[in-house]
Amino acid sequence: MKLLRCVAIVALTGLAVGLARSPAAPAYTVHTPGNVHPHQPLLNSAESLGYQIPAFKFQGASSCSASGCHNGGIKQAERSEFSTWAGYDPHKQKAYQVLFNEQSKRIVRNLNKIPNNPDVLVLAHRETLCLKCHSTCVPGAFQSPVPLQVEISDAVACEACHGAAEKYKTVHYLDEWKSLDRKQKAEQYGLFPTKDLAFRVRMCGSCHIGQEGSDVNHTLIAAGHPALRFEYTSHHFHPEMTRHWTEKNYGPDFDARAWEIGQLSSARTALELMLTRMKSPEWPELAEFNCFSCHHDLQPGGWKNALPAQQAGSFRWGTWYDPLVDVAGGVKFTALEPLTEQMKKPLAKDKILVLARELLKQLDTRLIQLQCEADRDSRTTPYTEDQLIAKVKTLLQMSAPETWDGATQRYLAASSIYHSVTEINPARKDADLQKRFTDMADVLRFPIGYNSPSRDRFTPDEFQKTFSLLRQRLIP
Amino acid sequence: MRSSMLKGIGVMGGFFALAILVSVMSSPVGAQDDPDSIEKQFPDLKLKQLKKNSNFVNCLSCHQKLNVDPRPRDLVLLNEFPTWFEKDYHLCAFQVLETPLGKQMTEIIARARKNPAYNVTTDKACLACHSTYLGDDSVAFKDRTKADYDTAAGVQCEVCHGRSAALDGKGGWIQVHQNPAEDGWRSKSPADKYKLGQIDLRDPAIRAEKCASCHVGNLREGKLVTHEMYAAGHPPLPAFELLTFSTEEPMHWRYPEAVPYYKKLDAQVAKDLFHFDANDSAEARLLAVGAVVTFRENIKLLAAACAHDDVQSGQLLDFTFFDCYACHHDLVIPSRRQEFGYVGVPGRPVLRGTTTLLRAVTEDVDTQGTLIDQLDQKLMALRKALDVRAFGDPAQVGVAANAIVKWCDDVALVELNKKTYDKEATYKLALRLIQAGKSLPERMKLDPFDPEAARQLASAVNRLLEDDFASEADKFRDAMAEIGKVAKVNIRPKERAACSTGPVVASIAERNKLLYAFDPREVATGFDKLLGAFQRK
Repeated sequence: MKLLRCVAIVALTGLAVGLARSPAAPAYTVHTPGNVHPHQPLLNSAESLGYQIPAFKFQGASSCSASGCHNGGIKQAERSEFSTWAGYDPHKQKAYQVLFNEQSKRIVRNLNKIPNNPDVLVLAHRETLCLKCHSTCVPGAFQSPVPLQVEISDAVACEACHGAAEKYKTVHYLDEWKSLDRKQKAEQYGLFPTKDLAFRVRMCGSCHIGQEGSDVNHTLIAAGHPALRFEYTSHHFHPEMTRHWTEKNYGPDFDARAWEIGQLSSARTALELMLTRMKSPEWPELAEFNCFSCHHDLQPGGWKNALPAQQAGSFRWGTWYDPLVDVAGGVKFTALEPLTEQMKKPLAKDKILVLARELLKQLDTRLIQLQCEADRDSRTTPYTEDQLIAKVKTLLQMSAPETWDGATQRYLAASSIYHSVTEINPARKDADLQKRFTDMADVLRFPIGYNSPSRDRFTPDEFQKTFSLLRQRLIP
Repeated sequence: MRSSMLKGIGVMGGFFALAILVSVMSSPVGAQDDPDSIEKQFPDLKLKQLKKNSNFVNCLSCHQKLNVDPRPRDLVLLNEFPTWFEKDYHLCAFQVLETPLGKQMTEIIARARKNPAYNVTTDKACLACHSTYLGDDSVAFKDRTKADYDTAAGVQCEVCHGRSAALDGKGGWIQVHQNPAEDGWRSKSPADKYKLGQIDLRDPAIRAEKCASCHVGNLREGKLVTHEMYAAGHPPLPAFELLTFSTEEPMHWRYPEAVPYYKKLDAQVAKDLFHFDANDSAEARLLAVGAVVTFRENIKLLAAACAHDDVQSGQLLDFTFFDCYACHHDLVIPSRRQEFGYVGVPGRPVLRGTTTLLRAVTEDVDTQGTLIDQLDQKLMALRKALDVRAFGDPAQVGVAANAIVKWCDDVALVELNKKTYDKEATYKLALRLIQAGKSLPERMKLDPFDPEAARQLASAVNRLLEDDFASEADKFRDAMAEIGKVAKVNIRPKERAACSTGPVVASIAERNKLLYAFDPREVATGFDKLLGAFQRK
């Protein structure tokens, strides 16, 4: 009897808790998921990079998490990829959790015009719009049924970056697997070729830059979402990014190669996004253009992004993804300048489309070449110190950057290349040079309380002065 | 005899005509009034550079100074010119194009357009506002040339008062208006005067429209401060308010209640011919009608831009139509805009131009409670059209804008015409305006975070109180001074520096500082105090 009573109490309590926890209906329409495989835009792009990858079914991160497989429990060790990711990677630790914070709720409120009332439920963690990047896949997001193992609270899990594991889950540990090259692994089994940096950066860009269906546009930014400005190496080497892999495919010049390929792959991903945005009746998309061309106050004495050659007060396009593609690619992308000029008149879509597609082709061609060179040379004949210094020289010879975007890209470029220099020749590590980089970062860093450059600290000339000091320490 | 002598003068270009005039006039004007002496006395006035078909010196010959000229001053002052020379910025309108700021604009635009020959002093887009158009009004702006513009004396009399002589040099009103006889000029209706070319500036609606043609814009006349001009350095146009701008011009005329001639007239005649009603506060009417017409002209400009060939062929609407500060603010964390929320689509540029004054005036005249709803509906339709995409869908924006213009003309101005601003009504209007200031933060939800709204309201309230409630000054002056610390109440300093110094420039930095330190809550607190002090118990 007592036992029965206990069981009843536990059961009723459980029921009560379950009822209390069941999500109440929000006061607005939660965006309904579409019918597109979350990887589809990436898979479409992958064709330009040489991969025809089918869309397979997701299995869920737990399918990777056996302790004998990837959950060894030792941070950053082989066979501990799952534990490293689960314990330390912001893709797991933060990506989904942030949807519960006040900023995320504010975004949803602003998008749906909900008053700021604590009694009104706002469920950013159930919005497909958010989950497309802040988790791996959204239940019901595509036609194939999603197995129960797929949890949105797994955030950005294994299959987001390695591909849906339907086919490779049961074969990728077999001996025959080693005889396949990365193209075969991708096209026959759906394992994303993450050692291919060109593909990897495109894959990161699915969320960190954006693609069809996952677009942090100006409306979303105005609602409260941080603006996206992606540069691969700064994310790769970010102090919070605890990597669960090592770069076996690359030598000591990895950073420099990752910078070059990252620049081109980011630029072409951003271009693809622009082509998607142009299909919308809401074009022109303000997020295509330099934020600080507009977002600066009008107090006298401030640096106003005014470039002499630019039409006073017009749009400025391509200031983040494109200023250094020529340097990174080592070739002149002839379609870039005319496209940049044409973007001053964003409604001339026909002309823009022609130039954008041409630039995309040029970028993809060079990207594939760069990746081939990296695959072939990085481990055996990496860039020499002189070659890397020559790249920094090219950056130093450029005229003063016109925008904060351009200045920051130069800083990131120089620091990536310098990092490779020190990998190749550790004797080049130099505290004074390190200080130069720190000074540059100080000039660029937004002041506390601001999300835009400081009018007091940052000017193109001030940056160029600090940047030029590199010459003294780096170039004999 | 005098009239026949004056008739003999005709259209003149400067020195010789004035010399002849001076030599034949019987009034003891003396040697100090010859052109050389006038130029010495007023160095900003370049009489010798006036174009041949300018009538400026004709005006100058009678309206120049207070002297023992026996002609009656019971209607006009006849001493308009010293006021205008010494204090009015309109004289400097062209010369500012030659100051360092003008040169900066020339340099920036020349570089941006890759046209080294470009100069603001010869660009008709600048001359349209900054000089005097002497050509045929019916000619489209695109067919006007810079030769049609006279730059010698800035914005001359005829820009506002109308061409006084016809283009062929004959006719017009220059001769006939000098006859003050009872059956002469003074007994003509404003419509008849306008047939001869004189613009009826005593009518607040017509005055507002004329002022707004430059101070807001008029596409037909080519008057538009574009975003390119702003980016090159053009000072931001302050939100225009008719009562404040009229008074602070400063006035080279008298308020109707101070004009002796009106008191001699039959009340209905005074109203029909001179818009004078002893029971109606001219200041309140300038404020109220000015608010509606200024807003209407802003929207008309937008509608005209939507219909312009460039926009029709696919160009975006010029950014000048959008609120400066919607874009031009540093991005901050936390963001007040994001916390406040958005009425329309987040991040869409919103329309430039505040409705705070318009709404307060409409609420005051809205006895049935329907006008505000009508206005809100039309404003919402315009907002939706602007939200379709960044910078709006011009077709939809044009339709919505034209609907608002129609409402202003067919509804708002008609209601205002029916109303009499007697003492009680003026007091109620003042209260309504002060309450609008008190509720500024809530009203900001409908308008952009625009410090100009606060300034426009504050200066209008200040002027109305000073002019119509001067006897109660002890009640409101302190509170107004508090408001003045956060929302600039006076739009210009009392004295004007020489035109060559670019007298507006010095105030821009100060204005910008105030703009970016603006907090609507501080202004609301000031108006709350004013309400407490001014409201009758």
